[in-house]
Amino acid sequence: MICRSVRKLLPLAAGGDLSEGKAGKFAAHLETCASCRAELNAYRSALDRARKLDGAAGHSWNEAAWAKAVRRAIAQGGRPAATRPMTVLRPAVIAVAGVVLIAAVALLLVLTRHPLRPREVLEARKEGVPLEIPAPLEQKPTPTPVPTKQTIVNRDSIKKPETPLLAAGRIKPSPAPIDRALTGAEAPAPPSPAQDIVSATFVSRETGLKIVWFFDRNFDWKGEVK
Amino acid sequence: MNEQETTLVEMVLAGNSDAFEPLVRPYRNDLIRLAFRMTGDWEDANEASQEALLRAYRYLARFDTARSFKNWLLGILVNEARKSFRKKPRSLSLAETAEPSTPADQERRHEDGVLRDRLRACLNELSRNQREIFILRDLEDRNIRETARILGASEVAVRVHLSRARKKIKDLMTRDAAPGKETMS
Repeated sequence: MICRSVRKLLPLAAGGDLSEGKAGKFAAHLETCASCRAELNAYRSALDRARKLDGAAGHSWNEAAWAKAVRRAIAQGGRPAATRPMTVLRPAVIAVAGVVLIAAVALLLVLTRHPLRPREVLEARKEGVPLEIPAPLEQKPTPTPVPTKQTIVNRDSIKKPETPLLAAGRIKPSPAPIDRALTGAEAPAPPSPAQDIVSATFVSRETGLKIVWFFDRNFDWKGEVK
Repeated sequence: MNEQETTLVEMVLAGNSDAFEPLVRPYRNDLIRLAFRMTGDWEDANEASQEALLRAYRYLARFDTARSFKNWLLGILVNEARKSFRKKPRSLSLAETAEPSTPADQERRHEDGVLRDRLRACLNELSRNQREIFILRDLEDRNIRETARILGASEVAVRVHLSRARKKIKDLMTRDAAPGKETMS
């Protein structure tokens, strides 16, 4: 131990409050360091003086005043048993409350979960039936009214005039970007707020494999169907 | 907590209020001395001790019999003394010693008087935690664990505050002692 370390321990050592682990090294250092010994003596001397100046050491509570204080406590304290509660019940109450809370949260999560079901979406799309999908869990409410029923729209359905969406007049066919450039046609209108799910279809020319990717309105990938 | 205290607590809780006095009597002087050390005034100490007894009786049902009744009682007293100290934050005094005023003691009393003033000022300079821990450990002679239990603090926190408190007290005492010696020489 060096002097710097020992000096930090001196206040506790002066009152005998050093832990056993440090006391040995501390004592070994003091045997060889007169400066630290002197500092330790200064601490002890200061503590002794403080104790001597303590005016309460020999004082006792006057018997009459004591009896009066006890009588007052009993008279004004009420019935102690009336306030007995909680010490035994508290842990059990906390445990039960915790279990109920966890169960409630789990139930809430199960009831509000909206898994995207790609196979059902694909089947519905093949049949030309708009599929109702509940709003995603993370969707925040917006000031504009959000329709409760949402329809899946994809490129395939837009291009085919026989799709129900085109037949209903909700989506107009738009030319490809290069066609727009040649003909000067206007750019397609932005997707309606109701269009929360979009899809992209890829078809292999060699094998005929068809893959559909689904995205949400933030274009986060939600799943695929082969 | 010993068996006798457990029995007395149960008797009080069962409605036998006469059992309260023998339950708290062993700590009678501990209460008043600690109260005085914390408030610095006998009147305030008496008031805080009475209030501590009243609260101990009223809330005895909340006492955990697995713990020390003495520490629980002194913990209540500490809270009451804090209230009193808040009302009179500058009234802390350790000067009321019962020393005889003989001529032989006059010189030492003069030195002690200066030291007492300094000690009082120093205790006022300590933080509340440092002051309470210094009083309990060094003036009341409780050990670290008891001090921690009474104050509801950890033993590590008690050691930290105690170390700082002792350093401040020692610095003040050392500064006081030096001019005194020069005057005498």
